[in-house]
Amino acid sequence: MQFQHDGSTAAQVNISSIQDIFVEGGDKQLGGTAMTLGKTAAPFGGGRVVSLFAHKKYDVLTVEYLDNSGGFHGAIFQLEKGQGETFKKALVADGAHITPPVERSPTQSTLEVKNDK
Amino acid sequence: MTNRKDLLAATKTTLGLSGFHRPNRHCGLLATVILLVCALQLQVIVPTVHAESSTDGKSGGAQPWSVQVDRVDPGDVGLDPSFGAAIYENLLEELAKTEQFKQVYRSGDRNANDAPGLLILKTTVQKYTPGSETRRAVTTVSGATKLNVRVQLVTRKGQVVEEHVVDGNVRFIGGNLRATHNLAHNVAATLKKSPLPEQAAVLPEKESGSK
Repeated sequence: MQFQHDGSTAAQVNISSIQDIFVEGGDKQLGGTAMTLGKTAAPFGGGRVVSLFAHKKYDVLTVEYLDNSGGFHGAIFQLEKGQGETFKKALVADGAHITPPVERSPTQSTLEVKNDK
Repeated sequence: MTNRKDLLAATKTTLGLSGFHRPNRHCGLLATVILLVCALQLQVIVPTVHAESSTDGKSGGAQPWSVQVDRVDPGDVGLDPSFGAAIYENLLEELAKTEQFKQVYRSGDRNANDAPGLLILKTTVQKYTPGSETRRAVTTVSGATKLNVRVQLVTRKGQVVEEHVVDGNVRFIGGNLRATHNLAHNVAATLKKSPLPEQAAVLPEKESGSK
């Protein structure tokens, strides 16, 4: 597997060095900071209405792997909705290692999870 | 009544600006020169003090520590795996930026085994509130992503050298993962603020390399 981050040198990861792969859903606002500032400046709360519709769902693919000296790495990829599972399956088919998912309790999947110690 | 008038007049003469300048023209000039000299002295002294304190806080001694960033312990707060990975990677980046440590190693890096004066940074997530960028954009007041972690710097033998509780949030602009960047930045800043003990005081002689 090979990937590049912000024009830096490409990282090459041996499929067998992958320790785990996770896929989650995500949601983001479109347009970046410029659009956010524009929405803030819009009168009569018009920006808020735009925000309601100007968002996009995507998949987050997290790949945990080890480098040549045993150092642990975490790489996060933002993919089109639905592509995360496809990528995960392809990597597993090529020999990537994954741990079976641990089921979360229903309370932890709610909006707010807190653990005060 | 007359006495009061005289008193007011005297006060006016002494405290009034024009009254001050006229009789004290030479004194005013002298005061200006003294003020200038003091200001110049301050300019010379203050950077020296800053330089000294920043050197002291850097490593806490002649031999700087190295640090190995351990994997983030998600605790039992249901932390998303992407958040764990993002906190870990951002910590590596932010700690390297501060130049407080001689080397910053990844978890499991074999090169860290022989590194003298190694501290291990353990991060445990205590609170996690998943937010929503859309909710933040629409409501402004809700949808914040909040993280609260306990960070410990421990020696190889498990002795805790530093312990802090640090927050990282994203409340207005930015994606949810920005909270991990803010958190890592806060952790690095907190560690930089608190001076580390000298290696000789914490480690056995053999490990610290001191005679």
